[in-house]
Amino acid sequence: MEQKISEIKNNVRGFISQNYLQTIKAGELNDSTPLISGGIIDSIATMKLVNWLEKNYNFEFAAHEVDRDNLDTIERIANFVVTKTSV
Amino acid sequence: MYKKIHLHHLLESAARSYPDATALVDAERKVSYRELDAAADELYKQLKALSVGTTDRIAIYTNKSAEFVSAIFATLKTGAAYVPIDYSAPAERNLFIIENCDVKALIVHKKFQHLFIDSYTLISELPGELLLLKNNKTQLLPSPDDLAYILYTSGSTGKPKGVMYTHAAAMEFINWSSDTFLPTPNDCFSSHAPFHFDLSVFDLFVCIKHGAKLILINEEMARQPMLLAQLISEQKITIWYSTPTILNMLAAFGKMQKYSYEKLRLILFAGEVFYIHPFKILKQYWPAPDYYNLYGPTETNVCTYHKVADDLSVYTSTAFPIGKCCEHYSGKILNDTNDVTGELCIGGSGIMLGYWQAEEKNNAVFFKEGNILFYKTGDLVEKDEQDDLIFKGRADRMVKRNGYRIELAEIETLLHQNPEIISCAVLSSFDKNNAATTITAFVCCISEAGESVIGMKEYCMKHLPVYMIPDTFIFLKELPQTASNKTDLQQLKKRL
Repeated sequence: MEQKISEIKNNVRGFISQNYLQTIKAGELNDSTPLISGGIIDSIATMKLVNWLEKNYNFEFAAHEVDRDNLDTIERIANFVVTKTSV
Repeated sequence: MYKKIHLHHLLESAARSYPDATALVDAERKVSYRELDAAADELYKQLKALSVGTTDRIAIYTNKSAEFVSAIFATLKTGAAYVPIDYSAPAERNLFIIENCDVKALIVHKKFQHLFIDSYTLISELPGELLLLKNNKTQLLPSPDDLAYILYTSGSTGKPKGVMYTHAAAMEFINWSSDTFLPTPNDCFSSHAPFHFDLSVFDLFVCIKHGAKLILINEEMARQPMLLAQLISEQKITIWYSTPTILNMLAAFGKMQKYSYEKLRLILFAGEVFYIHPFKILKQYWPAPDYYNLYGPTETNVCTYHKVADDLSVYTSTAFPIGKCCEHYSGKILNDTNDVTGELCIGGSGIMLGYWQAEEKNNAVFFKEGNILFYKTGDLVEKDEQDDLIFKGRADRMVKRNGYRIELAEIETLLHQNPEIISCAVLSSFDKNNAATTITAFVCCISEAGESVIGMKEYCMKHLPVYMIPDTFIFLKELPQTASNKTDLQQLKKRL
């Protein structure tokens, strides 16, 4: 489980760094960096992230699940993905 | 002589004609026309007790809700002008606006009370808001006659500027909308745009004029396409009005196929260019409604319009034309000698009264021809073979994102206030395939420690609305300069 969580975190970190933080320095984006409330991803970027997560981890977001509680940090995203895929 | 119609008369008349019809639906509840007018009257009495009147302004700083709407109508009933504040924008920017327009009183969400403790007195607690009165130290500036609202937009000097609208001018637009779109009491309007955005003038007042139902979409839901698709279907919305960005998001991410939309009859879009390619994707989901491209800066509200043809193959360009001048306006293209492209100027009594407390700026944007006052939009246009106007870009450094105006200079001014930054330049680029405006900031910092993208974004988040935050920060040791020692923007453009 621990291994799965850290793998998801690294994948998500890679996706966000590559797409939205091209000029980032290594190690700057940590598990608790606020993504939506920190202005790093806007609403379109958030939806792209949702799409990517759905495809990569093969699950579906319910409409009300697309929110900061599940998506504002890499930590929360990884936990959410694990909850959705372990049922 | 008949009585001149003011905006709040529209509610009063609807409350008489359709007292039990639903006026508003927000996240919490439904409100009938009788209840809405009664709630507005209740607050009106409290404002009158503070001797609020025609020369005053009242700021409304709360989330999008039935309470916001009754505060708007209560304000209008006193004869004062309402100033809607962006609930989601940083407090610092909002405080500037509230200070700048010199309000007499403030209706504010409880969570912002701490911002106003020093200079305002608590008068009463409303359901979710507080009514605060400004501690009267100096004489307040008087509003011009008939002022109904002031909407603030991005300013090139680095500070937002207030666009003043009278009841009479707003009514011209509302009546034009009635004649053009023929709403009925059976219609159900979306209210997607926040109240500080001029699209809301249509949603609110045209809907209420016709005794129709208005679905208030709050800040969280407004940018979440999956929830929007569900809402449009469940609430049986008939008239939808938003920016193309939101419609594109719906088509791309809304999981639209999950729902049905039989009642949807009219889709209006405005605020930015809608490209035909992404539009086709939207039309696959919603083939039935009529679509209109509406164009106009906040200073004129909608001033040109184009009904989208059923057969999209008639369009040879990549974007829809902005069409022809609205019937209550006349348009003029100001151009140099033989150039077909020129600046669009809009004349008529529907235009803004001017910018609040900005004499010099007003002198620069208005001119008179005969008896008609014209506003210079700063937008470059030309005419196609059908005599339709085509939008060709801006004469200055203003860009648009999700319909919001962004003066790049306002972002630069803010960045310059960051002690880490020595110099900066902000540029934009436009990707036609994704119909997306990208904002890039080139920044020189004092030390390498300051060169953090996340740090820069956090700083912007504290001071700017989300739509103004640069997408990309590029750190340079120095900015390239032209021979005359100005920042070489052309050189930087090559790096976008």
